Order: sequence, then C-alpha cells, then structure tokens
Amino acid sequence: MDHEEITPLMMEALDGSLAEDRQHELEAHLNSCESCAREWQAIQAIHQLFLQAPILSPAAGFTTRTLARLPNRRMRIFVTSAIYGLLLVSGVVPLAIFIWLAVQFAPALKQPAFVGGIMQAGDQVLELALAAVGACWQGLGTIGELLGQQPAILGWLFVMIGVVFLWGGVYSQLTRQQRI
Amino acid sequence: MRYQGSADETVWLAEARRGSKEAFGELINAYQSPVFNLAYRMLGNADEAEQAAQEAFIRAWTRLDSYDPAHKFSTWLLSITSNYCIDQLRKRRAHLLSIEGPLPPHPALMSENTDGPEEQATATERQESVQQLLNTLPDDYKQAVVLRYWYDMSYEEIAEVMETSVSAIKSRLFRARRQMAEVGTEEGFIPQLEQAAVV
Repeated sequence: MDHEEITPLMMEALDGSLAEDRQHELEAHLNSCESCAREWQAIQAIHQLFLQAPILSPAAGFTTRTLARLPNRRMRIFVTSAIYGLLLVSGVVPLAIFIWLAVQFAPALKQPAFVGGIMQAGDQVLELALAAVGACWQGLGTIGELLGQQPAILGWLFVMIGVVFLWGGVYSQLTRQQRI
Repeated sequence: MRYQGSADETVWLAEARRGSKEAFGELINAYQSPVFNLAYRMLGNADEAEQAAQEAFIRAWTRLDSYDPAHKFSTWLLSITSNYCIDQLRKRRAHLLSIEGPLPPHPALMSENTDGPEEQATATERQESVQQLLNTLPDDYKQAVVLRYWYDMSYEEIAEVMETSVSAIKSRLFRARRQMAEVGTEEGFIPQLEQAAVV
C-alpha cells in the first residue's frame, strides 16, 4: 500500500467510519512506515485538540446591540409593496388609455390614408436620426484631426481621466470606511 | 454540537418575516454563540468577530424573504456568516493588514470554571494553539475545519454552505489537518498537544 492510499483510510478512521478490515490495513502500514506513523500521530493530536475546543460566546448584551442596528423591516415591506403597486399602476393605466383611444379612433385607423400618414412620419423620423448620426461622426472626425495637429491635448485628456479615477477611488475608500 | 430547529424557532421565523424584531431577537439569543464562534474562529479577533456576527444577523434579517424553510435555518445563517467572514479576510489582505504574532485570547478562553490555575493555564494555552493553528490555514480550509469541528456538519452540509463538492471538502479537511500537524510539529505544539489531549 502506498502513501496516497493511506490518506482516505486516515480520513475514515478520524470520522470513525473505517471498516475493521481496512483498519487492519492501516495499522499494518503504520507499523511499517515511520513517516506515516509520525504523521498519523500528529493528525490525531490535532483532531483531539479541536474536538475539545469550546464554542465561544460574544460579550453580554449582544442581542440588544444587534437589535439596535436592525433596519425597520415593516417599513421596508411597506415601501417595497408601494413601489410594486405604483409600477403596476403605471403600466396598467397607460394600457387602459391606449385601449380606450384605440376603440375611440377605430374607424379612423381603418382609413388607408391614416396608416400611410403614420408610415410617412416614421420615415421622416428615421431620416432625422440618420442625419444626427452623420453629424456626430463628422464631429468625431474633426476632433481626430485636431488631436493629430495638437497631440498634447491627448496627453492632458489622459491626465484628467486619471485624476477622475484617483478621486473616485479616494471617495470610494472613504465611503467604504464609513460604512464599516 | 448540533443545532436543531425547534417548534418555537418556526414561530419566531414566521413572526420575524412579518417584521417582528422581538421574534428575531429570540433567534439572535438562540444563535449568537454559534455565529460568534464561527466568526471568531475565521477572523481570529474578538472585535471583528462581534462586528461580523452582528452583520450576519442583519443580513439574515434583511434576507428573511429569501430563506427556504426546506433547509435548516442554522445552516443558512452559518452560510451567511462564513461568506461574510471570507469577504472580510479578502479585504483584510487587500488592505495589507495582517495579524502577526500571537493574538490576545478571547475573554471566554480565560477560564471561568473552578479548575486550579495550572489547569486553567493549560486549557488557555491549548485553546490559543487552536486559534494559532487555524490562522495558518488558507481561508477555504479554515472554513471547512470550523464548520466540521464546531458545528458537526456533515460533508454534504459543508459542501452546501461552501458551494462545492463533497470530495473537495474531504480533500480540504485532510490537507488542513495535515498542514496543521506539520505546523504543530515544527512549532513544538505536538508533544504538548498529545499531553494535553490525554489530560
């Protein structure tokens, strides 16, 4: 039996679940292997030490101190329920209005000209959006040209970003310590 | 040391879910020692253990709605506690704070029993050895050892708390024991431990 096979036997022996025949195998190996025997002795000593270790208790008044820090659960339940209620109302009310409007204007919606008008308005909105994107892209190109001419601006940009992260980290540490 | 739920605990839990702090106070009374003990064994410091224990109860209070009654309340609560302690240990390392040298013993380790001074000194020394040995372990090994020895949890329960497999828990426990045995031998604890174990 090699050393790696001994490990599960030792574990089962510590748990008190080692079968008798395996117990004999373990003992036979320990009798023939000095290093495993020394290790087993040390592990047993550790095991006994930990079995005798007591459960520690906090200082008196722990319950009172902890209760004083508990947030108000009933208020939290009430606020959470109120928020869910408002969300529900905010979804149901517009839906009800939409259905009412649809019913009121159903005859008009059946007119082809009405639907065509909506499609035309949609096309115009899309054209405006594409024009806005094109203008932004052109603006980026202008900025790129400027940076190419004045590379120092890029350096200052990185410095400012670094300063923002630095102060953000300081703020984060200060607020974290306050919470602790 | 096995913590069993009681019929009272079921009532307290139901009341606490409805927002009763008095009912939750009963739960704190019932579990303050196991929670504090776990925190102290993980963190090695009485003040931090008290803060961690309080925080564990606060988290349990705010998350009561997520507690599944199909599982034991003690397992759920100790899981919250051990996860919080693991986070604190990671923050401690991140802030380059380390506990060096022997820790001052918890007041409870100073024996209140009627043993003579020699027996008390032996018991205190033995318990200081326990904490020093625990502090040599990686966090996940320490967690497995504490849950096994102080809470008598099965491998399956420990695996559930630590969100890993039973085989991983068995491996960690044995490696932890082996590592503590090596440290104990190097530091000269072992002859004293064997003697104390016999006492």
